[in-house]
Amino acid sequence: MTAAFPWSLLGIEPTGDARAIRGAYAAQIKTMDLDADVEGYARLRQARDEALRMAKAGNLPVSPAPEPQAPGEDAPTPAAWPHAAPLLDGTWSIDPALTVPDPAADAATDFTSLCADFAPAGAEPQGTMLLACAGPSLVPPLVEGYEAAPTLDGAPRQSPFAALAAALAPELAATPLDDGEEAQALVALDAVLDAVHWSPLAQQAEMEDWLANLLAQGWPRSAPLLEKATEAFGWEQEWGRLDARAAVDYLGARLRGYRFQRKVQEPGHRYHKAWKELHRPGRAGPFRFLRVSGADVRGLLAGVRKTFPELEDHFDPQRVASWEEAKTWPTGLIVLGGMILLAFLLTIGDDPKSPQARQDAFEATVTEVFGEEHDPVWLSGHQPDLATLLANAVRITGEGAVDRQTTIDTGIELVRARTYLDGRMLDGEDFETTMRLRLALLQAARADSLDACHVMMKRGSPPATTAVPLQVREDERRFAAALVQRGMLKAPAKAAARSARVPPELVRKVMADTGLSKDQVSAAMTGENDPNRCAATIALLKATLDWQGEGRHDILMTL
Amino acid sequence: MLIGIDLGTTNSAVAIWQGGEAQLVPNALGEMLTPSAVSIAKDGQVWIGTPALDRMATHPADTATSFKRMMGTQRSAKLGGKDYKAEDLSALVLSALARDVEALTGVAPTEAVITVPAYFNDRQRKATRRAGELAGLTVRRLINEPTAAALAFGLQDKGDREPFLVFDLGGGTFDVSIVEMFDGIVEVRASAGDNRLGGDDFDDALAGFVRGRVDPDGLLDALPEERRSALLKRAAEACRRALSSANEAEFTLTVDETRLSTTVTDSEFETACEPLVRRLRDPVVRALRDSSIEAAELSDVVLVGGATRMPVVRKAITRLFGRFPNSSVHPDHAVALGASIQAGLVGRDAALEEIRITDVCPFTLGVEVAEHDRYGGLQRGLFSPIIERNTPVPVSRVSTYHTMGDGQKQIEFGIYQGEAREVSGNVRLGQLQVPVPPRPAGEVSAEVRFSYDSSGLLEIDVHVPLNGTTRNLVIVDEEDRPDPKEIEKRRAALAKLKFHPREDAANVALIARAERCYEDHVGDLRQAIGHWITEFVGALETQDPRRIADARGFLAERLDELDRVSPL
Repeated sequence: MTAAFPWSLLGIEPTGDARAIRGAYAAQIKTMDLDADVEGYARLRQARDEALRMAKAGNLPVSPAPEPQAPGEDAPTPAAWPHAAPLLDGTWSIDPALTVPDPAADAATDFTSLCADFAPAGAEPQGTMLLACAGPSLVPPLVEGYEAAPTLDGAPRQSPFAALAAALAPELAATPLDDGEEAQALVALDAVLDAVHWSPLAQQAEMEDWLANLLAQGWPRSAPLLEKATEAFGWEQEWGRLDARAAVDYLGARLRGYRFQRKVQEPGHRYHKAWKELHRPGRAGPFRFLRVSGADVRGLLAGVRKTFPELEDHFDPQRVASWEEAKTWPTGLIVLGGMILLAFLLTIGDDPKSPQARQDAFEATVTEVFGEEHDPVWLSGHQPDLATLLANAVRITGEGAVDRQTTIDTGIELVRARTYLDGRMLDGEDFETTMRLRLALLQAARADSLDACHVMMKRGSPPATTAVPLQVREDERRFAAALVQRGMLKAPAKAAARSARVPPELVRKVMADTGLSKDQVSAAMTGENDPNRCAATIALLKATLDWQGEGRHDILMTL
Repeated sequence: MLIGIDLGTTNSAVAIWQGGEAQLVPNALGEMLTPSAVSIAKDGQVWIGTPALDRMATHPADTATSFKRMMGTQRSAKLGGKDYKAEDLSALVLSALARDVEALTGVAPTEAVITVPAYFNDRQRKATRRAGELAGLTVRRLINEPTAAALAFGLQDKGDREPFLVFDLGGGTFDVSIVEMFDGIVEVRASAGDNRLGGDDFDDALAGFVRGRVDPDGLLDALPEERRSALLKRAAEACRRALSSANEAEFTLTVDETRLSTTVTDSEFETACEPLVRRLRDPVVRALRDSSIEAAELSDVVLVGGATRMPVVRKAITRLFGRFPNSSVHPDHAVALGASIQAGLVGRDAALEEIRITDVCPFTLGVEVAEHDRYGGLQRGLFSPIIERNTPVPVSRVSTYHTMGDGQKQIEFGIYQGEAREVSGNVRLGQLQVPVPPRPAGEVSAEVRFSYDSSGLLEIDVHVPLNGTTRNLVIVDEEDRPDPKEIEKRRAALAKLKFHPREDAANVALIARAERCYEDHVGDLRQAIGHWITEFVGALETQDPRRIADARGFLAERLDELDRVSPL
């Protein structure tokens, strides 16, 4: 024990006395020429930090994890924050939370301490996509002078913090503020900003984080408050920074989208015509080029997808599809390209970025996607292209560690999408299996939330947070492995948009199943953002699978 | 001999470490601070310091101040019809300070420790080092200003100190450092800053605020640009200083024969400065966050830099930290004193044997990379950090990068500094290329080593393991390696300038000051000043030391009287 790191470098026996450790560090450093021995200085510092950490943790010989932050009482485990800020470098739409689903209603009360932003650097590897959050981000900070003291008429006076928290409760996030609510919220925001302005730094930081989280979780309801808060805290300067806080970065991305949306609706804007074009319902006709320049439409679409993906929800999907067919773009499931990191970092040393950690994550992905009995060697033997794709999809977090969970989730998403697109091109039993898996996944997503179902329809895979029944996962694995075995899980061919006639007997079944009127069903099947679309699709898929009439295949191909 | 120099935006100072003590060196006028101002006439005559500042009013086209703000840029200032870069002008100030040391000790200094704002980037640091070389000084170390101030503060009693915060708001830059002292180790935990925020900006804000009110007829608009800004700047500075000790002050300037004046209250000034005051918060928050220290844990908030005298700034600080700041160090002297302590450390002075200082690299350094995104497109211009900000220095880190194209023949590395995820938001420091053997994409790797030394200067090595190519590119930018001939040429050009003999310094400064007063006043007073100047010049021509001394005493007294009654 005596000769072991870190004590050997410090030249002392193991001790829990922080003063002794710092004293030993001071004594050692005075014998060194730092510029001549850069590595030695780094090691000595490491030894001191490690020794101080061990001392703080109770002088345990080995303590693998830093002392966990004291979690709030009613938050035993850190809750994943569904509103993680997407990166702006184009890799962000892989985040399933694109359309900002409602956080689970009980999650709102689980945030009982501040977001993990303030954890000491390196204390815990943070994913680039999801940030662990362990704190009362929604409990209004206590500010002197704003306690709920009764007013003259005896009614309790509500603090502006509480008023704002109530106005932006996450469960209301999808409902826009009406004029009266908006005016009240703005008054409360002014009072909050004023309180922040006159508070000392520590409280300012706490209130700022509270407000950022509140606004992020209340988006899009919080939209009218965003400009003011952003200006007051200078959040704009933080956008795009390596160390931007998740909530601030998220709000930044939303605000820029919001601003862009306002600007593009002005007739003078370069993409104004393209914006209007993509809003028109239905397919674009052959004379579309007379209305608007194709380059502008493509430019707008590419720009929106890169920078403001949530705005694509505003476009009419058929219109978008018909513009995309004209060019070389693959339709639908854009996610397919997969995340290919070619320029990646491998720091020398025993960092988790080492090839071994990547290989492990890759193996885990293959096992999870195709089942226990399969490994990367099997996959490379049958489908080398897919093996390469999955190997390259290994994700590295901002801290440089391999992010296993996101890697596995990405793998599942990739293979699931391929299975669907390739499987429906086959016939007989394979086609049936493909469509039944699709149905099962849609049902799982719907059971989760409406948003999850929309994500599922858009990308062919529900968000990673959706629980897929074990039996469905098992069937998926078996089917995907079988396709790989036959070399069938290839990069999918570009698919043209399809349409089919649905016979009245199926429409009736759907109406009976969903309780919708005929017009509602028809609207649901043509409008991508129709709230009934999910239910109608599931019902039609179910009905068609159990039906053996003419055009069955064509109908299924549209689902 | 090794000296410590605070090369400031507004004022500079020099100190020496002698007999176990840091000691400031007075200039030829007996002042501890030398304004960072240079004036050069067409005939090559040079004024440095206070007289140059006075000449700003009378000869704005020959005079430059605040040139530190151009450090590390391609911009130059025209003085007496010739272009000078910030480092040339800084070199003149440095050489004046070196001569002050020589006058005091009898030994010409050859080496120096020079301070730079912690948030100075690599280009600005290299330019500062070149300025030292041009002044004939070997720059042994560049030290961050808040670190120097922390040394001066920390060594007051040499006791241990819990983390304290140095709040350094100078004329042109703003730095925040969090420092701890234990067993003689002065350890900088984190630094943050804004290298475009300083007292000058408060002057500009004030001038912008009152411009319409003080000059309703637009007299200033008719003046040449440099004259107008010189007038406004001086009036604003005087008004701002007056507001430090009064609730209201006159903003006064004289355009030719017309006197313009308006009263500014402190609350008006506060309004004008509001956006600037807001910018003070961000670096403080960042430094605290990076060092994982809560504001409440700080044992002290130490104020450094002349601009921290402003009540509006003190008020903001008190509000931010919920306590009163510590003013036990002299805000204008601490940095130079700290620089001389560092000089003693570099020179391994016995009295400092038990003291060590460790600093950090306040910004992230890295290279530009590209990635394939999942649409199959290429994302260019991404920033891949190699040295994270607030890493203790010296430090050396390696990262490995791979080729992206089949048969790629060379890898090009853009070197950047900053905190943005995309390089377009960062400062470009330079670039270097390495040839690589053509292979399929991803098969060739290059190891890039960044080494950041105690002076905050960056070295880069690239190694290609596949064929053993090693590029040791110490200097990454052409500008950073001006060939020795070029340095020699510029040094010779500076040497050709004519300097006033040291014994004339007081007279030269007095004439410059009298001429400035002449500009500032109108009517009878102006005529009287003109008369006094003629008399003094007449006395100088007699070369009779006693008569000169008498005339100097008389003129100085008259000017002091004027300055006392004048709001300027």
